[in-house]
Amino acid sequence: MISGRKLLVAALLATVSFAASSAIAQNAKPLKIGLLLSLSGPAASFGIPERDAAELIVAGLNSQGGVDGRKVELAIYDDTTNPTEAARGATKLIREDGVVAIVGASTGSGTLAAAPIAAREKIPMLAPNATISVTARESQSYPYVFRTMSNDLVNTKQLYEAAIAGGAKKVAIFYQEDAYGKDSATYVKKLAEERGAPIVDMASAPLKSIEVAAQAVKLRGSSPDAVIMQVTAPALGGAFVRAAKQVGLDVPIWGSMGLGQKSFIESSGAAGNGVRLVVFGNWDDPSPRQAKLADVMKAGGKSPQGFAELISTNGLLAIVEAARKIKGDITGPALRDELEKLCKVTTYSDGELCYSKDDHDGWSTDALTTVEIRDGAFKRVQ
Amino acid sequence: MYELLEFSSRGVLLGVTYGLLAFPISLLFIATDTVDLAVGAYAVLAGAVAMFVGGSVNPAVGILTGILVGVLASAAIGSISLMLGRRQKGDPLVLVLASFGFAIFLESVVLTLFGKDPFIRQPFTYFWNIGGIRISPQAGVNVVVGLLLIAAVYVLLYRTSWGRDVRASANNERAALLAGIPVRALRFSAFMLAGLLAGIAGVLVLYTSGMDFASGMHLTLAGFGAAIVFGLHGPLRGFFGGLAIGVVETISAGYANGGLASLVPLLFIFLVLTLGRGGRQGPAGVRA
Amino acid sequence: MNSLLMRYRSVLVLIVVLTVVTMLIRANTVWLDTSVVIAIYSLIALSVGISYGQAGILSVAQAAFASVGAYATAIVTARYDLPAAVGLVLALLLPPLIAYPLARLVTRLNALSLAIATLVFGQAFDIILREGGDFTGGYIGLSGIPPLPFASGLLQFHFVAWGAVLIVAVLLSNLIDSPFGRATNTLRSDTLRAVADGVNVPHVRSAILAFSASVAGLGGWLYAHHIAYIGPDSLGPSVSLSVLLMAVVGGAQTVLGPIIGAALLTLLFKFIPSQEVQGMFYGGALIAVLVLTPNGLMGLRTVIGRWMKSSATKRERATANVATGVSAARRAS
Repeated sequence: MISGRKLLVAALLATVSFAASSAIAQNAKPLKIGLLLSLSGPAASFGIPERDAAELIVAGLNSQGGVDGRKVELAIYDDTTNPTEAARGATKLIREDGVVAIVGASTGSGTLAAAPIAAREKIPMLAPNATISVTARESQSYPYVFRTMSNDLVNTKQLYEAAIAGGAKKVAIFYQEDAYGKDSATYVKKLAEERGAPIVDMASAPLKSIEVAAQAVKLRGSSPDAVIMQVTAPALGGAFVRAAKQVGLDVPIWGSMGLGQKSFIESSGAAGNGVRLVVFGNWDDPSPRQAKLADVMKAGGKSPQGFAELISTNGLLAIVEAARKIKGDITGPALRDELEKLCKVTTYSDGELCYSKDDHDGWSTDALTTVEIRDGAFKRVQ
Repeated sequence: MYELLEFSSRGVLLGVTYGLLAFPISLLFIATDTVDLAVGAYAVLAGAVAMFVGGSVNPAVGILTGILVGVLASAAIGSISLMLGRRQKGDPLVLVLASFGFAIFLESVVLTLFGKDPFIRQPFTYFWNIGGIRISPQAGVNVVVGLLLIAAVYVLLYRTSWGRDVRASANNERAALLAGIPVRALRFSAFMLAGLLAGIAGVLVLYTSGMDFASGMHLTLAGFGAAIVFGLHGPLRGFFGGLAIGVVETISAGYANGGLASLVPLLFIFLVLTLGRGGRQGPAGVRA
Repeated sequence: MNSLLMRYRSVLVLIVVLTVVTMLIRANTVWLDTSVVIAIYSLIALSVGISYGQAGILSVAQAAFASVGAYATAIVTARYDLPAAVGLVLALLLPPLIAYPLARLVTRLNALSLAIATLVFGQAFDIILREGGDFTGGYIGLSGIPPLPFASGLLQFHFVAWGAVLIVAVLLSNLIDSPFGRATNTLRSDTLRAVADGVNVPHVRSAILAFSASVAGLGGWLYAHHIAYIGPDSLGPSVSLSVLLMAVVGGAQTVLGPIIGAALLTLLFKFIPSQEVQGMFYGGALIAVLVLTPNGLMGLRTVIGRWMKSSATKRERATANVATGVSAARRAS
């Protein structure tokens, strides 16, 4: 299905390397991109792979001659999973390092804190977050914020529909106590009411919980025939799956995309067998495009872990793609205008990137895949 | 009713973990009148080492190495405490903050050496069925180790000369010095002992629910809540404090929703602290 | 005249330093931004200096009070389009209204339990913010907070923020030098003596905590209008710990200490290598500062002073150390 008919990155690179051989190209000003990511603190598990993948892609681009002869330079700022630092980081990257676009922040709240600054400075932010309000239309930062993945509404709806496709009537929800967990659980609840099959019970736990048997017992009490797990932390997801097994909650469990990581399988142990997820990328059984990113990362001595690698490279490649369209000086406003015109662009993720004036979300359901854990690996479900 | 029984018994099992973490905190408080905020970080370090050494060599070696590394880490904060003690002009809070700095340091060490993924080991794949409640044999291991440690700490504090000297020097440092008790060496050994207990707790957490590099502060606070709720002056109280918090947490998670379930245990600690007698200020200069 | 100079010497030092720094950085956005952040942290760290340094109340919830101020102004300005001045009044009044009753509940406790009680309060407050629904913006927080109308540029904001720090520094200098301040200081070192002196201990301590909460609220007000976004993570429990560190590293009992600590710890992040190993540098630097200057950097003055004295006094000092050791142990319990 995914053939070479569209400009695949490999083809892109070949074109670029051709362009690079021309002499003019060597003298062009570098294309400076900021990475505003959480490299420490709780979101480091996203920020670190986001950075690793971005660095390797840039190294690859530069070894092929850069973007239209411009070297790509990254300026990296660690926001320590702290919105105040994210805001400071945006100022520093823009004013001191002179970046023309930013990929980040790793968390929705980091992006919300940094976006007003980026918008004031007219620098586009490519936000690797599914948080709905990041691209809220009424926000003053809206013109300069572009999402690099499918949003939580899309992801959650897809997850709910996959869960009830097998005929489940009584669905229960387990969610983590944060913006993602709470909002998506509320959304599923609303969807279920619209379908006339209300959610039978809900339980939740703080992100750092180490034991959730009580929550599993609570859900067991309403005898659901499927459980949806709105969790992004692998340790918490694993803890719930094990607890469900332990207390005898033997029904199909559906998990959200944040759990599409090796560490979730490891922390679930034997109890994880049969758990299904709707994911944004699957490294055990990758699509051809994702396999290319995996190759790039392996060549650089890293192995991809989850969807973090995909969403940061999505942002980076969107910037590169927009930059190619600009004839003169590459500036923030020029990049923004070109980003808004990008459509039918493919990156390493499944599906296509399509931004427009009214849609800064970019990716949709075609980027999502359903997988099942079998024998310690994610297998694609047809 | 039956459900309540299940929640309570699961709460007790969860509370055992908190109680284990409370041991090093209350022991250290009894011995040195200070609090070490890096206790959770020793536990994480021990757990991570036990997982990685255990994975590549063998589990028993891993567990021993993990606990040993925990002890070594606590020796570092023990040395810092001695350095601070030498110019004791300062504030007792300084050591608490230094231990917080050390917790940040260790978190970064664990992240750099062992990565961001959760650490967990699950040797048991079957469950015990006790009166219709399915529990993992690991919970049994935790209870047994917890009881053994209570006994060991009790004997050490109240039946050995080490324990007598430790209690004496904590009560009145000057008198202890005058009586020829090696106060500094005792303080140092108390830190090492706390590291040992934290290391054991860390290994058990690794085998029970798992942890990741950032779990340290969560574990410290869990142990701290357990240790302080009924008063810091006895390891037994800390253990029961852990059980109480475990039960409150499980029952509120079972019956309440969302953030309220997390709020209830906090309110419980707050109320016990402010209304109970444990935390009251004694007449000036007298240990409450 | 001379006593006035003495009373306000810290404020004067601050004015001189600020003048020089402002001259140097007035054209540099990044440094101005850093300077504003330092000013905001200074205010919250000063609130620690007031509660802990003056009255001995170790509150690990100061960022929660700042958060009250920030949320108050965010809600009235972003949602109801009221002027930022209304937000300022709320930011100054609401935090003490929460702090005073809280203090009446917890100041009877010993130092450690008190610290834990405030820590628990901070965490509970954090959960309430997250569960606050549309009113607090829940887990996401509130964005679109308008800038201050009279300080829309960074340079003006820099002046406003440091102006606020100067006002608090003057108030704190007055407090330290007033009979009330001396009463609280007696109470810090010897509660029994304060009771004997006829001080209404619970009321005085609670009033001090309320005042410190107001200062923190002022910091929160500036924060909201500077960053334009406030969420539960912005001024969460971890910031309470950071500002505590700032105050202690700088010297909690002095006027300049918390400001120095805030500047130092904020700048530290700028210069230590970022990413995974950052914690090692930060934690290590913290331990080094604490071990070298247990009374904070402002305490260095006395350390250096003592160091320059001849070794003849060494024996005397050794005995003094044992005595202070005992009193320190007493205070810990």
